[in-house]
Amino acid sequence: MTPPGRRTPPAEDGFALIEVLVSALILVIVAGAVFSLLESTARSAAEERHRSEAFAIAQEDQARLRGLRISELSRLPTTPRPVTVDGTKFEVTSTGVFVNAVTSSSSCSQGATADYVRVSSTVTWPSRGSRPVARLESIVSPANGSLDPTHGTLKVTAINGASQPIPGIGISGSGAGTFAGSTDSTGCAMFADQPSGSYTLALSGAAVGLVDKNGSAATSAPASVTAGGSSTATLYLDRPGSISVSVTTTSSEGKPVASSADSFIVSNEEMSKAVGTPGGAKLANPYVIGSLFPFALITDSVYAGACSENNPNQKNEKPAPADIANVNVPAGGQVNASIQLPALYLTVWSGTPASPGTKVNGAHVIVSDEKCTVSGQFVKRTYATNSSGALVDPGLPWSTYSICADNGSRHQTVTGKEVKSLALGGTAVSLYLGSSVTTTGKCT
Amino acid sequence: MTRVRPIQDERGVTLIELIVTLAVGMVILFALSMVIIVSLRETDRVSARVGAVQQARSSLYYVVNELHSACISPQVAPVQEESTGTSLTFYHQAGSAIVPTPIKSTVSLSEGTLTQSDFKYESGTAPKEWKFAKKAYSSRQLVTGIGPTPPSSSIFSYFIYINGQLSAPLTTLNFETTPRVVAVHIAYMVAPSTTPVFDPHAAASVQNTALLRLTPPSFNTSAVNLPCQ
Repeated sequence: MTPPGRRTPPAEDGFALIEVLVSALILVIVAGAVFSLLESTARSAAEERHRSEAFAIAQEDQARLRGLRISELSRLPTTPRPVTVDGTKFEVTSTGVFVNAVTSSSSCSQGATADYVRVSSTVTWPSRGSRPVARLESIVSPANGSLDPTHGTLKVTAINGASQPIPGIGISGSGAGTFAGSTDSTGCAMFADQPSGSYTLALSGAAVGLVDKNGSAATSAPASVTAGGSSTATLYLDRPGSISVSVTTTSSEGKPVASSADSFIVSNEEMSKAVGTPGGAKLANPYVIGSLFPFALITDSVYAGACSENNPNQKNEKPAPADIANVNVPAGGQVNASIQLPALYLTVWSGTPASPGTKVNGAHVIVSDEKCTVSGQFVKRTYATNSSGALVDPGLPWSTYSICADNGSRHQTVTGKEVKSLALGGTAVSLYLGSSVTTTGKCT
Repeated sequence: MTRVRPIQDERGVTLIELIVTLAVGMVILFALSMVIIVSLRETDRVSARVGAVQQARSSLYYVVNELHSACISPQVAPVQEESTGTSLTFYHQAGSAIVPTPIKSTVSLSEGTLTQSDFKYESGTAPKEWKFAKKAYSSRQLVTGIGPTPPSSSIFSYFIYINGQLSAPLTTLNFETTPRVVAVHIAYMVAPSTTPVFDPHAAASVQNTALLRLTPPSFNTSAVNLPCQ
């Protein structure tokens, strides 16, 4: 314990000043908090003011919309309209949608009638942030005389192969009038109060890269508007799929061998598509048939040939024979199909039926399809026999043929030969080029 | 028994420390009082603005509601020819009567005050023959401290249909346009009644449009779309 009396001098380390500085710092922090509180109060007051002004603008816009003709309501501009109040720039977006009185949903849906126009006014402002917009809605009833009796309504519905709606298809119509829009989330676009007549719809937006039922690129579609009524145009659009077809046939020894065809037909209840050149160059094996509409519920039939007469399943039997393939084309994908062609076992002899002689190598053979005409001509396929006097590839589309072989100066023809059997042995035909059974001239 | 402990440390504060402490304390006190003053002013300003908005809006909706009750007869053209950019004269009535007795009202702006005067119906059956008393039987102030919203110099504007579309705003009416007035636009600014600080943006501007039609206009652009149809 320090004895009283003599003491060390007091420390002059300015402790009090630090205390003051610390308390000043605390005060600054508190003042900052108070200021930010004040600022946020003022901001929320301004926000409330903006909101109430926005609702007043929306209400005024509703009055404006009720003063417009129905034809204008159905064609309101999609760009926002600027309105400045007290220095704040508001943007007003007005829409008019035809609605059904019973369901109060958009008249675009199937079978719904257009009873009222639902007009909505949506007002936004810059300082709104993520807070909700000011929005008012009301109904305008088209009174007698407010719609032109020579006009009608066109509903355009876009669905894919699985019957699902496609939103975002840009549609611009031209013809008796012009209109533009795009399909909504239900795949529907409605163009009310259009002059009656026929139109061409140009497709864009989500339609890019899609194909129609016939496999053509979806760029346009026809439509028509009837006066005083509602017409519907349904667009079937989807990502194209493809079929990889591999073709086989049976050799004269009864073994399956690779074959090829010059043409194929892909058909279903909705469409028929022919590929290749009938009677021309053979297609690769396997061959990919692309740009096909992928029906989810409809099966595509693929067979070789150029006519529906080449369809081996004329009676639509189930299961289908092996010379036709039934497949479901996936959207944007590929499916494999195999076809077994009926075989024609042709043998060209140099002699006569009584004395056949030798098998003719390199004889000129024309196989003419008696059932299938393309551009008014029977489809003719030209071959040259191999060293066995036979066709190199005996596979032919399912049909009835007339077969002619010549040696350059004389020819023999047989007609009405059905090449339809997939059984071993197929259709066997022998032709003789001996002078007693032939006719002068080449096969034509 | 308590014993007074001897003072161990008689160190005080130096004069400099004291002065600095006082000076800093003064600054802090000043800042604190400024915060309070500013916050009080801000509160006053906000409430003055809110009050102005409320005044403006309630008076606006009063007039708009009366305009919405203006179609008391199918043949009536509610807005009268004497209406101008600062004065609106129209027929209206509300109530449950099958045949309402019309009231003629004039809402006019004079020296920053919006006043409504009502005139009693006297005689006449068809709207064109209606006669009203010359002298107002009731007159009341709707709102004070108002003026047109710049750059406009009028608070009332009128619209007629020209070629199936609402015309540009009219501020004077004549014998041709009066029977065709189908919409009245009202827009004005209300200054706060008390101003704690000078605030050029405190005035609240309000606007609304009353449509004097019941159905959409005809598809035919050459059709004359009259009011109350």
